[in-house]
Amino acid sequence: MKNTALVSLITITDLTFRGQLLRSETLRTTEIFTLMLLLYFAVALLITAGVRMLERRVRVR
Amino acid sequence: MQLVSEHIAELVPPLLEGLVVTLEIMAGAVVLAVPLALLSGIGRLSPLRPVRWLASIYVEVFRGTSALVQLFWFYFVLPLFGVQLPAMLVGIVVLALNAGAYGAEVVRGAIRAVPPGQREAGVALNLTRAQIMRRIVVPQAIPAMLPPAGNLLI
Repeated sequence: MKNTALVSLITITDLTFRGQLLRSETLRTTEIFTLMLLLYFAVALLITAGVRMLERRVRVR
Repeated sequence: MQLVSEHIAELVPPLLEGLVVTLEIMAGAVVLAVPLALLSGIGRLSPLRPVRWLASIYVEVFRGTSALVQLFWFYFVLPLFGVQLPAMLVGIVVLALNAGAYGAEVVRGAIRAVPPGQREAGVALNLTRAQIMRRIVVPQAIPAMLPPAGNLLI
């Protein structure tokens, strides 16, 4: 998921690209990049929770 | 600093739009990467040399080169050979090929971690190689794949 930030470099308007656009429009660097980190982190937490759930389901008893 | 706290909320919607695209790319890449990882991970353990080589070449090439350069290559170099793909597709495919290559090693490791006695039991039951793999080894390897797979997914 975090690797997807790379696609911002081939003109895809993903979260990272969007953030950079927004920064150049508003110059509110601190808030934008902090929000971006929080959003990536939130997704990571969701993925972690999902994998945990799967792990519990297939645990060998 | 009073500007900083002002209207942070108005920054969120455009970022969420970007997040949707990010999630789409991730979802597309995962859907492609999982079968790729399973195929090439199992392929690297195949008794057939050509299969093993093919799987190894794929894994080593995509694991051994920069993901960013791969992305640029597929997006900027392929058109020079007459293959012009939409950016979204290139993003999904390259990330999938990348994750698939790393995932192959996850799969290979998990399969090798299944105790050899399990295979031997399959042989004793007169199961074919494919049956042993599909019915005995892979089901036991899946729990071992999950933690590193989650690590990769994140």
